[in-house]
Amino acid sequence: MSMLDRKLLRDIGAMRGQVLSIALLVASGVAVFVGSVSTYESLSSAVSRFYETARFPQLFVTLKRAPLSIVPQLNTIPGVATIEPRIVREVIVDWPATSQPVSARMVSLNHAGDERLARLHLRRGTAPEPGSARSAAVNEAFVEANGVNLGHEIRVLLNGKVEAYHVSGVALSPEYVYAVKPGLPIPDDRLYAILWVDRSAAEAAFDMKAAFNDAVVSLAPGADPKPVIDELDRLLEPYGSIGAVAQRDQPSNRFLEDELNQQKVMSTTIPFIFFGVAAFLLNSALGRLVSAQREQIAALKALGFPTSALILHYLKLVLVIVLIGSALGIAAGWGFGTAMIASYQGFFRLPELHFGLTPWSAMLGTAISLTAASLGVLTALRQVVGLAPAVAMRPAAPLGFRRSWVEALLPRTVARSRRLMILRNTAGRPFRSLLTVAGVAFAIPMMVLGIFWRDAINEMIALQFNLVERGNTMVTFPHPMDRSIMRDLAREPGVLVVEGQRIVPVRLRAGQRSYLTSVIGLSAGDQLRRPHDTMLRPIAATPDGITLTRRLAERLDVKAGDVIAVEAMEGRRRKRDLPVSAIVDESIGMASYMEIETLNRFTDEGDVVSAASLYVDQTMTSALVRKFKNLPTIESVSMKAYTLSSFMEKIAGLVFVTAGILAAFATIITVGVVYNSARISLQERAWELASLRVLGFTRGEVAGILFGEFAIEIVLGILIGLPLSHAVIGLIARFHSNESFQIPAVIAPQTYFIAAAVVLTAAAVSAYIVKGRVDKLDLVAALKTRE
Amino acid sequence: MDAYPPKQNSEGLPVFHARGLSKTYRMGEIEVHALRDVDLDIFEGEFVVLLGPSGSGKSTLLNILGGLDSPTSGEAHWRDHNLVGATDAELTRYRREHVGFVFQFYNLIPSLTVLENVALVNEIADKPLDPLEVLELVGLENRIDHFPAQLSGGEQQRVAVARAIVKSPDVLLCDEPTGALDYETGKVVLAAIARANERLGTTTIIITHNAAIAGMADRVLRLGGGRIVSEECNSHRLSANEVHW
Repeated sequence: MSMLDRKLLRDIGAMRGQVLSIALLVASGVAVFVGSVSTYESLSSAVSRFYETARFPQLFVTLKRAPLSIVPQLNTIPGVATIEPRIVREVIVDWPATSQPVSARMVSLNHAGDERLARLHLRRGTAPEPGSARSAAVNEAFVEANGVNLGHEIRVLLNGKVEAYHVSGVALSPEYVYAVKPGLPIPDDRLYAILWVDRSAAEAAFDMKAAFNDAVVSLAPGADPKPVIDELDRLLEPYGSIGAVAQRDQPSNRFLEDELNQQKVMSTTIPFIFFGVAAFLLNSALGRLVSAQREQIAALKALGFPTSALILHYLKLVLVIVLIGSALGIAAGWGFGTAMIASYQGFFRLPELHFGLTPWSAMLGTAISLTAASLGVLTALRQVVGLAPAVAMRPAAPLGFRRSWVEALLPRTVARSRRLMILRNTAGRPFRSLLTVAGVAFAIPMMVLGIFWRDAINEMIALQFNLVERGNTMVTFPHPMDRSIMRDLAREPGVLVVEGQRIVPVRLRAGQRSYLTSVIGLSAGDQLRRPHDTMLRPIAATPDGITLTRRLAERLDVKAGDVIAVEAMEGRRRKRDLPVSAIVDESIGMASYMEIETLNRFTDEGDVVSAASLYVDQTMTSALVRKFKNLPTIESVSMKAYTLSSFMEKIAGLVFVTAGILAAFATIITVGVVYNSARISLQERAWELASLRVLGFTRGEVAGILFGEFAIEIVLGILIGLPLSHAVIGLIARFHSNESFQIPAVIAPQTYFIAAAVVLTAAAVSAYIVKGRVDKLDLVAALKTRE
Repeated sequence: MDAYPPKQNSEGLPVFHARGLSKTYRMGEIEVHALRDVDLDIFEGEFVVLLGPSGSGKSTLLNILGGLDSPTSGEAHWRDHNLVGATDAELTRYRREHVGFVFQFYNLIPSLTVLENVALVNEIADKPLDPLEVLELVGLENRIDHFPAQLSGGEQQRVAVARAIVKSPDVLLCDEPTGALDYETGKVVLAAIARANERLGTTTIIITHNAAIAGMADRVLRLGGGRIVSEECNSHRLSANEVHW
């Protein structure tokens, strides 16, 4: 081993605290990068694999009823490869274990689960065999949420009769990776099941002999879906088709794609913010470390070591630090990704969702860190190596301290010598101070990013469930009912307010853009569902137009005043052009609103309602819901509190993991920056501080002078970090918003407070560690020759 | 073993009182005896020069008297303060309240001006003098707004002297105060130290290897091999102008 390598090893040993803290900076950048990229890749490849093996269809058609005899004609549409006709119905499940009504989607199977399209992946048991009338495969999410086992009986209400099905298998389907009940914004696995039954069983249950009401389609390679959709719609319109939709608008896939996009954005934006910060800090911290060795470097040069040997020596130092950091980072990224994937497992039902580390992300992460660190070292080395050895061997020229303009602002009584020392040291080394300020300023948004989700979710809930949907119970009817049913509902015990709504599936078109959604018909004075404009003022649906949520307006690229084509997808399927009367802000879903009378005139169905929003006395809710469960006129009942809590439970895991990781990294950044700066400052100023101790200053006073500088920088960093958080969150919220959820960029004051408190604590702990060394300053050395 | 009380101008009790001071360092396998069984008394207002080559033990003795180091054995008192076995906080308070230090390399705070360097010590002193008056005493009244980097070595050392005496310490300890200075500048600094001793009555101890300074002292203690090897008392103290080297 060469002597220089021996020096390297000893330097690393002596500077282990600094080496470790810089390595941790590298580790945090690499961890977030590797963790997010790998999470994205794992999720994305699990989805692709499942879609491929399970033959996920490309088009989805829902209709009223069509004879199977039409299928061969559909097969001849140019571009269609396979078509699988099915019977799909929403049914009510008699599930005494919960007080809430449980519903299910019953889906027919043509080939015992081994379908030509949307094939089942069986976790356990088997799919119902052809001809088996009383067995069903059930989706895994429902089975897990309700503790169902093979052989259990599931009782379904069919035309007023109860029919029992035995659970023959537990299955996953590419159509229900994320199974959300139609009309609900968020899934609730406890209350919604997917039941797959043999076609014969479905035919008997729904009186659909030789008929179908749903079809999934795959396209020939390279076929354009648009003309196929148009042709399918044309041919199936007489059979009550509500319009074919492409993969993009298949509910489970839409949510999955949105989440994948979000994860993709996260895997590219957040790590790069992180990497940028880590690289900058790494660069500066290593630069300082090298500058602190300037006399050694000069001595080595004077002894005849060539510059290249010295550069190599310090690059080896970088390599050691970066390799330690990358190894830690890859391990932490693995843990982070595994935790993320584990929390996704509750959300997305995929047969093989495992975390796998993406090798290129680990290599790229290491390479980026290595580059940033090498640049920092080379910059610092260039300054030192460029000096004549004789010059470099002397301590660096004292800083040209001068009075700063800040001092002029201080009252004389405040301008005491110690405070001036602190002030001038901060101002006299602006770039160095900048390092600490920047580190802290970046740590704050990291921290805020970790915990702001709670604020965002609270805000979403506040907006959606406290401002817009103010009822606590929602019921839907199996078909449009006469408005007189409202009077019946109002008489039920505990019902304080009831308001009828008409919900009609519609296709909205504006130029080339179209979107399949629902329009909600509201009465002028409705209190329980109140759309709010972008200023969060409640507005009523106007009788002469349609009101769109902001995200929907963006998707259609329209603004208030523009005219769009509205096509009802049920009943007589009328079409009409309507002006956009207002844009409203909602955080969940992409709904539209019309005045109910206008809507009913448009659909030509008289004064009907299809759903009702209720405000029910809290103490009476359970009894009422139990009663509603058994009313044939009520298709579904949902309770806000129940839906919300189930959603929060699911999302809590993800939020918790993200918050934990980001908080850990914010802490690492703060500690890394503060500890390193403090160590190097102490190294440079040990002589000065020891002199003060000799002059009679106490340990505390001397530490105060050293850390006063950091206190200023940390406070400045926090002051910059708070508005910076706001900007970062604005960006992140924008990137993360999708059609399912619009993330509001709100940060609660306590979030800022927590972020600042964590950063302050991390800084204080770093300072405390360094203070141990301040206490052990060698006083006698201060009297001796300056090194 | 003889103690070294002043032979002529002893008045009352000594301010420093040390008996049997020994200091041993271990440097690897070797034991270094920096001080061997030193007895010492120094009286109020005295100007004492500790003279000796490097390795004679004079710095170790000064460090012990200044509360920066503790002996391996023996006792050392400053008035009623026991300097042996005192805690770090007690020694800090002792230095803060009673001792002024002048270092060989000045040890000024680079970020503070001349006046601020002096005022710095005032912040922790009970009965400080006016920094401006003290700076006048060392002849730097016209340089008060300069930073140390803008001063010559001699000027910096005079700031250090001013900084040491501004808190009106009971004892002024100077470690090779002219060691880093040229002849002329060294004399200006010595004059400043002597003036502080005369005007303020501060007990002054200078350690130096420069024998010429000995003439300025009331008493000269020569050290060698960790022992006090001789003691001389000057019946007539020379002024800084009168010493030559």
